[in-house]
Amino acid sequence: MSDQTHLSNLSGDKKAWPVYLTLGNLPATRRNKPGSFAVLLLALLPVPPKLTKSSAHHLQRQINADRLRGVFELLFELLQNAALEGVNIDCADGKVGRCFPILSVWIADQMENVALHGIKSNVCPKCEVLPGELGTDANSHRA
Amino acid sequence: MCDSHALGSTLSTPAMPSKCPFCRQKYTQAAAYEKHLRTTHANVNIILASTTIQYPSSASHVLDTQTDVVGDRPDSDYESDPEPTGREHDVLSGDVVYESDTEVLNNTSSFFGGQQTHFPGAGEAIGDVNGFQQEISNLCDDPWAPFPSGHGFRLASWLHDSKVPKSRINEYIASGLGNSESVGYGSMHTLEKHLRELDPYSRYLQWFEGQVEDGKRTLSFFYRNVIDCVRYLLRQIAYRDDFVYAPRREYDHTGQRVYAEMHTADWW
Repeated sequence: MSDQTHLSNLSGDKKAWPVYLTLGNLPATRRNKPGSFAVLLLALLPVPPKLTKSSAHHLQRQINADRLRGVFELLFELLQNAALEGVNIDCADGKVGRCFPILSVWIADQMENVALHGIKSNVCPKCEVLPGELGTDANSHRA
Repeated sequence: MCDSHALGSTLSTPAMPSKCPFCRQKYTQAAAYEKHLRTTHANVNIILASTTIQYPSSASHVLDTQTDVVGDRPDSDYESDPEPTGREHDVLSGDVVYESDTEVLNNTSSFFGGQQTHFPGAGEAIGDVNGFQQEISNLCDDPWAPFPSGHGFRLASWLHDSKVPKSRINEYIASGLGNSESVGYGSMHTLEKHLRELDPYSRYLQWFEGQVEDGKRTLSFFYRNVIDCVRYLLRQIAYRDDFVYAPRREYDHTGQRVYAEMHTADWW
């Protein structure tokens, strides 16, 4: 899961962008308890500087997206081979298991999804209503 | 870990409140009580689990015994019942074996006979971890290691949790307020060394620095090795009784398929 966090207003809008990791092998009741410490900080992503209203606006946005993609490629490069062929991992019950770690769920809010998937921020990716028609009655529109 | 078994035993449990022998919580449902023991008193479980032998009873039998034993004396007080401690420990240790060994074995065998489809070798161990028994026995012999006593550990824990600055901790020790003999550290340096030893797998959590360019400037970011993070979490003995290593299907009482945790789905 990932979420941008606001750190400070005074020294130039500092932001942190942490990515966390946890295991699906743990039951949710255990995993989601703060005291269980089952969530590890995986990475602190580079936060792109604020976009200025210049002519290079769109270009900069594209560069930021590409750069983010590169960071994720670096992060999950190791996972690709391990997910296909498996790795031997020492488990808590004293046995060695053949594990196939895969990235199964990424919990993120709407703005994160926009950044991660490169989608438009004014369109909801899950519903079929166009941005200009949000808030109107879908049934009357169809009729 | 044992949702299906817990469901069955809950139906047959009388509504007699069971009191936890380690704290003052009361439970009417065996499943809730068993979960409480497993989560809140996980440290007790670990120590007992590694010191007991195989307990030849089925899961439901253990749960029934447990409720019966505690139900015999529902009015007993925390201070006034030192006598049945041994019995409670017996029940507990049986319980622990059920969680960590018998239950796992039952699960695996039922997979092969049932309608379960899974990858070859799912949930099966392929070997033993080197030095695991040694580690467990060390933990039982000297639970406060590397601190010589519980006092030293609790003081270190308090100093760490209250975010006391390192210089103030050094001052505290130097002024002779604390007895460095009994707590096991005479300076911030040795205390930090002890704290690092407390987490023997911290080598998995190493940070790496990466750099990205965006055309104008170079930004640095920090990351950890994904596989090593998984190794770190899987190796934590604290989660020993919670881990699920193999998928299974769960059904409610009407026979409807239930999807809850990751291992109850089809894709694992």
